[in-house]
Order: sequence, then structure tokens, then C-alpha cells
Amino acid sequence: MNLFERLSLRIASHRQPKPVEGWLRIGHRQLYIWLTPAGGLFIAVQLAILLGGINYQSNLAYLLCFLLGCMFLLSLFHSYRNLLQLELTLGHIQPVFAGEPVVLPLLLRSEHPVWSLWVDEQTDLVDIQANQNQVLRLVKLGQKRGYYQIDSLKLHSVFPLGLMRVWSWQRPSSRALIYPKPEDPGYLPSASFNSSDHESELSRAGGDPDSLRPYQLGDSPQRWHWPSYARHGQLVTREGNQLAGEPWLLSLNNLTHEPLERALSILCFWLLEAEQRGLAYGLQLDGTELALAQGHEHLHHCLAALALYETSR
Amino acid sequence: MNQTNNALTQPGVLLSLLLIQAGILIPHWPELPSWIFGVFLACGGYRYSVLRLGWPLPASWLKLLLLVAVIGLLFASFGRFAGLDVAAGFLVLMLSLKLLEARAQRDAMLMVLLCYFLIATSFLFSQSLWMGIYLLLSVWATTTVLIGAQRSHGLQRAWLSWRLSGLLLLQALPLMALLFVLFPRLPSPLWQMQDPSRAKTGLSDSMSPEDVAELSESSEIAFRVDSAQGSQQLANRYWRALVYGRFDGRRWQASQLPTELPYVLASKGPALQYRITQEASQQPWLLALDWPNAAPQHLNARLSSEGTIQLQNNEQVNNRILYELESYPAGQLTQLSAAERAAYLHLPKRGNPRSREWAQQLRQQQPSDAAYVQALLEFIRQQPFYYNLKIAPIESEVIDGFWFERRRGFCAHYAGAFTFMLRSVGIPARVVGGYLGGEYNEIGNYLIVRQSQAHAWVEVWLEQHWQRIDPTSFIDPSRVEHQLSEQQQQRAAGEGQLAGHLKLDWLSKSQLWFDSVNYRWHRWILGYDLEQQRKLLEQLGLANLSWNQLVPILVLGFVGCLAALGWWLLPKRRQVAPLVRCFQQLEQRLKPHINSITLEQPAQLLLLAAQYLPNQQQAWLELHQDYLALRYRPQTTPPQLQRQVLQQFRHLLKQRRQ
Repeated sequence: MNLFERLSLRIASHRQPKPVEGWLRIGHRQLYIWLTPAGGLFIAVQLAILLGGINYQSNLAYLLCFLLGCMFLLSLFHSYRNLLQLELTLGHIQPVFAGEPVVLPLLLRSEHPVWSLWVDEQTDLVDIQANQNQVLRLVKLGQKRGYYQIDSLKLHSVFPLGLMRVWSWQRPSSRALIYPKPEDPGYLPSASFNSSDHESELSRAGGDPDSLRPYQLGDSPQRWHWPSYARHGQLVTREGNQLAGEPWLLSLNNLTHEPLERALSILCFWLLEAEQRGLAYGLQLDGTELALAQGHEHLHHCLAALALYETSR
Repeated sequence: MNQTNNALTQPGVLLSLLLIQAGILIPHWPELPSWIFGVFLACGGYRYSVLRLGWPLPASWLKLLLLVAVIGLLFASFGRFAGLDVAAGFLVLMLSLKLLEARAQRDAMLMVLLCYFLIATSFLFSQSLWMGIYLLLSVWATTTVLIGAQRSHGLQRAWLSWRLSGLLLLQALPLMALLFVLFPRLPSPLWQMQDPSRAKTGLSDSMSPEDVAELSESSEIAFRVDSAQGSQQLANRYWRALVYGRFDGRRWQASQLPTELPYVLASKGPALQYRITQEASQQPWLLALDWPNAAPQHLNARLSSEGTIQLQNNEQVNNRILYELESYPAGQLTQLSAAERAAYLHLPKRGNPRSREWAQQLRQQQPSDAAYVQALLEFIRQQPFYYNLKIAPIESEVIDGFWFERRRGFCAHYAGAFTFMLRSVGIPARVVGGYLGGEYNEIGNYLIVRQSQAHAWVEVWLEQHWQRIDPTSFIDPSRVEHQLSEQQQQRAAGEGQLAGHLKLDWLSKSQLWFDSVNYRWHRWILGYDLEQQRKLLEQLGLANLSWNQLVPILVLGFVGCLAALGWWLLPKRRQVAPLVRCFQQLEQRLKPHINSITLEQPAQLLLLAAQYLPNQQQAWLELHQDYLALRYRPQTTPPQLQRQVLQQFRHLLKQRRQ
């Protein structure tokens, strides 16, 4: 970043310190413009032509110099107009684990066509058609758990003549969650974790025979009763909310011997493990309790609770 | 992170760049040696093959070798390093070699900017109307390539880039015109450059018949002249350039009189004002009708005692110049100092004895000088003197050989011999070189005078003033030799009474029209210098402004126009519907009362207004009803309901403010 861009970033951050929800619109006050090196050379060429015109008293050289100069100044307006009233926002962002790349879908739209735009660190030029939403996938690295806050994005272009650069700093808000990175502690949550008011004995043997039924198309493989299949050669599924094993009630209080972040990472790992095994699981954090359940949504609720857990104990 | 768009790999950009460079080089063709263009074609072709066929770019040592080789060739071609043509050739060569090492966006941009510079160098060689058109077209094309280099798809959809480029050009033209008119002009160049690449044209400071014969072949324009009092009266006149006062036995040279000698013009009579647009000649003389009043002020020129105007301080007419003069055709130069008399009587001690003897005999037979002059002219008319432009030079005794034996020649011979005859008998006389006649362009209302109209005549000191005698016009018209070409006939036609008449068919008519457009071009665009600017400013009422005052006006005017164009170009704030704006204002008004307003319908806002602004509660409720009617029962509402609702809404909003 050169001096002007740094300066403009400070000004933009001062004006808009927090990310903005919804659609952002690039207005007059958010656009900055300066010469590119080619622009500097262009001015030098113009001056040389002017000097030649003065010295050789060539009026055509004057005309050429003035024509180039006026075109240069007018291209300023064209460059400005290119980026003006461009709207952007961030779409739905899939949560990821810390350390993994976050894909930020940036939606861009404009009432007039936008040419030769560079967004952030993309290496390819973007052209935006008029009145059509365009999606760009920005990939950033999510380091910390919690809400992912995007840095200011730089949108810039040297259209049309490549002699001036117009840029704008925008900060769309993203409610993207970064879950803690799962860490395998090497042990599973012990039986004492389990809540006392749960019938654990029922689940151990592998299922209540009364709750079996013949296989129907679409039954999840997690619910197939393998012992029956091995004995009779027919596929049967377990019915209802019969759980495959002991439910796990995971609690932060049981991990006080670990530092907080590692504890959260371990909990995360166990949650994933529980889901994979088809167990019911619940989560208990300070003040937050998530009842036993299963399924993707429940998993995301739990992971979200982990991600958003305050850093102060 | 490498955020550049490498234009050289985009479709069409390299090829377009090469084509445009070739187009820009075309006007340089007459001025530069052909091998330079060969180098360009070779480098261009190679670079294109690099793109298309995957050839490798040349190594550094090879590029260095080529650089040294072309510089050496350049020196060998021209024999020098100075001069505009060498500089232009050098630029073209550098552009060609740059092609061989162009690989990044930076190089592409550099080459395009060099193209702009190359366009400028063509103006050093020619500034005709065609060049003006060429300027526009080449700037348009080059800008298109520049725009294409910034696009992601290069020049694939080229018409988009063409269109934007054309738009930029059109929008820039009025601003350019404004700058052109108001930009301050310097009275003289920043530094004087004697350009060795340009040859001298026109009359030189020594006249020999061969030189003048050569000029008669040339149809190049020497100058154009028009007059506000009617350009037609400028036809068939004598235009003086310089005076050949010294004879060395073979050639007549420009006189070298002391500069302090005064120029005394008496009994002036009516004045004739005219404007001359003189082409570059690399010589110092300007032109004037007999007898000029003063030298043009804005040029560094001086009116000599002989009535000729010359640039001083070794300056030359290196570019086309425009100047205004005032002459008195009926005036008389009545002063002849001793120095001048001596100069205008001087003849070499030896040579042409027969002529001297014959002249003295003839003078003795005549009662006066004037009669002697008449007798000489009669001699030309009666004796078999012929007018012929193709004459072999006479080896020695040029006057004797011409007057008594050959008797064939043209103006230079006749003027020279005549002056010799006069000086032999003690009558001061001088040869005057200039132009006679010219072609009246009735479409443009001005006179074109070409080099082929160069002429020499005589001035003789008789009856206490200088009088013009043109001996060539006394040749019997039937003795004009017929092997003259059309051009020579025209020239002969311009001399004396042998006036011909141009037949105006459509071809020559269109030529005249084109020349008049060209002339306007010269006068208004090319001839626009300090003098013209001063006049234009006078007309606009901004006379007599110094730079200090003019520059702020220029800057203000320019910025004003630029701002106007900018305002026109940039999109306005999106027009918000008036009703929506009212709702927005209401929302602002209610903000202090309610923290966050999430509504499903805007109509609810009106209800909230009724709740929190109890002063106009009833009015708000009514407005609510009206709005619902407008919104949901448009068929049954009278058409002016929308306006009423809007007015009422605004009214209510205003009231609260009070």
C-alpha cells in the first residue's frame, strides 16, 4: 500500500469504525483517487509535447497536448463513475473451525456496469453487469474462534485509461462463526459425565428389541440393527428415539484442569465424536445449557455456544 | 498477491498496438530512411510470433547488440546526431526495440505512451489539415488500445473500447478548444534551433538565372495573402522580398548597405492593408507590396532603406508565420544617400565591354535618362528577344552574350542585363527579387503565390525617386517559346501582360475549395500565435491583459467547464420517491420516542405518529386512512388523492417543526 492508500484507510476507519450490516453502497465520500506511475509518465509526455509546441511554435502540438490533458482530466470522472453506487454485502457464510479457510461470498451489484474491478486480493479482474448480482468468493483464514470480523476490503480499479486509480475501503459485516479447533485429548468423557436421570442401561446392550421394525427405504444406517441382520439376514431399523449408547453430557466444569481454549477444543472434538457415533449429547457451559439431542442442528447450536463462549471465565 | 492485468496476453491487444504503431509511423515515411521501418516491421513481427507461436524473447546480450547496431546505422544514415529527423528516427528505433523486451503490463503502457509522443513528432514535418485529421484519428485509436489494455477481456469486444474512447475525445474537444484559445503564447521560441535537416527554399541571397529557373519548376506555395479591403485587388502585383544590389560579373548578390540608412516614404496616398501567411523558407526575408509602411511589430524584423523586410539576429522563417502589413502603392521613396548611390552604380572593373560601350552610345543619342530607359525597352520589344525558361548558362561575359547574341532568357536575365545597362551610364539601378502575380482563390477569397511565381525586376532612380521597370514585360508576346509546360505557361502568364485565364472545371474547383479550407486551417489553427490571440481577446473584450491577469481567467474558465462536464457525467443521487422521503423523515421524527422501529407496513408508522405526536392525532389518523385507500384501493380513489396525501403529509411534518 502506498502512502495515499494508507492515509485513506485511516480516514475510512475513522469514519466507519465498525462493520456495517446489510448492503453497503459506495458513495462520493468513500472514493479516493490518485495517479498511477503510468499516469505520471503520461503527464511527463504531455509536458514534453507542450515544450516542443512552444519552441517550434507548432500549434498542432499545443492541440495534442491539450487534447491529451483534457482527456486525462475527463477520465477522472469516468473512473470515479465506474465505482460509484456499487453495492456490496456478504452472503451467508458457512461456519468453519479455527485454522481453516473461511469462504466469504461477496455479493456485488450495481445499476450501471462496473468494469475492471479488483476486489481485495483477488488476482482476476471482475466485470459486473448492470442490475445483476455477482458473487465473488473471497477466501480468508479464520484464526480465532468466535465471530469472524472481516478487515476493510479494498475495491479498486484503474479503468478506463490506467492512469489513475480509484479505490474505496468497505467493511461489510459478517456473522460468520469460527468454531474452536477440535483437539483429541486421548480420552473419552467418562461415565460420571452422564446425567443421573437417564436410563443408560437400556442403551448399552444395543437396543430394546421391542422398538425394532422392518427396514424402510430412507432409514439412516446409524439406526440399522446389525445383530438382527447377522442372525436373520434381514435388515431392521431401530425405531424412535432409541439411542445407540450412553448419552454424553459434556460440561466445561469437568475440564477445569485444562486451559480454557484447550478445554473448548476438547469439548468440540467430543461433540463431533458424539455426533458421529450417533450418541445423544448435551452441553453445559457457564450459564448455558443445551439439552440432550442429536442431529446437525443441535451440533451447530453446541458448537456455536462453544465458539461464542466468553473469553473471561 | 500480483494484481496486474497483463495486457500483452489479452486477446487482440498486441496486434492492435502493432497496427496502430504502424499507422502512426506512416506520416514519418517521407522523412526517415526506409531501413528504420524495416527494423520496426521485423521487431513487430517477431514479438507477434512470440505471442502466437511461442518464440522466445531475445536474450540481453542480443538486445544490447541490436541497440548498438541501430544507433550506429542511424549515425551512418544521417551523418550527424543533431536535427529533428535524427531524433524522430531514434524514437522510432527505441519503440521497435522496446517491442522485443515487452512482457509486462508496465511495458505495454510505456509503448502506448510512446505512441502519443510519436504522434507529436509527425507535426514537426508537416502541419497541414490532413495532419489535423490524422491527429484526431490516431489519438482515438491509441486511446482505444489504452482502454483495451485495462479491460479483462482485452480488445475482444473492441467496439466498447472504441466507443468509450470516442466519447472521451468528444467530451475533451470543447475544453481543448478553450485551452487552445486562451493559453498564453510566447512571442518567440524558448531557444533558437537551426535545424540542419530542413533545406532552404525560395529566393536565396544570390541570384543567378539557374536558381530562378529551378524555382520556376516548383509548385510549392510561397505564401498566401488576403486583404480585408478585397483580396482581388492583390492580384497581378509585385511582391518584393529582397534587393540584389551587387554584381560580381556573374551573379547578383543581396546588397549590404549600412543599417543606419533611413527609409523615407513620401506622398503616401491611399493605404492597402493585407495579411500574409508565409511558409517556412529557412531564410530571413519577409514579403511586402510596394511600398511598406513598417515592419510587423510582433516579429523581430526590420524595414531596410530599400523597402524590404528581414528578420534580424540571424533568425529565419523556420515555421509558417503570419503577419499584417500596410503599404502605400502610390508612395515614393525619395531619398538616395551618397552611400546608396555609390552602391547602386557599382559595376566590376572589367567584363562585358561591348555592353558598356553600346550603352554609352545609346545614352548619348537620348536627351535624358528617362528617354534612355524608354529606348532600352523599345530595343527589347523590337529586337528578337525571346522568353524561354530552359536556357543553358552562358559561360563568360554573361551580359554581352545575352544582350547581343543569345537573346533568349527569362526574368533574371532581362533584369540583370537591364540593370547593367543602366549602371553603365551612371543611372542608379538595382535588381529586385520577389514574386509576381498569384492565383486568386475565389472560394476562399485570398491569393496563393507559389515559388514558380518568383520574379526579378528592376528599380531605377529617375526623377528623384525609385521607379519600377519590368523589362520582361516588354518582350513581344508572340516571342514566348512554346515548349513551356503548363506551369511555366502559368508563370509566363503571370509576367506582365501575358495574363492567362485559368479554366475552372470541377477538378480545379474542388482543389480551390480544399485549398481554402486549408487556408482557414492555416490562418486560424496554425497561424494562431501571439498576434492572433491578442486580436481575439480584444474582440472578446479582454484586451491588454498581462499574463498575471490572463492566467487566472484561463484557470477559472477551464475549471468551470471541467466542473460542468463533471456534474453532467457523474450520476446524481438516486431519486427517492417523495412519499418515501416523507416516511423517512417521519421515522427520524419518531426516533426519540421509539428505540427501534420494525414495521411490516409503512402505514403503521402513521399510527405510531398518531400515538406519539398527539397534537395532530386526528390529522394523522385521517392521513392513515387516506394512505390505506391510496395503497390498497387504487381503483376507487380519485386520481388527485396521491397529491393530496403527499401535501397533507408534508404539511403535518412541517407543523411539528413549529
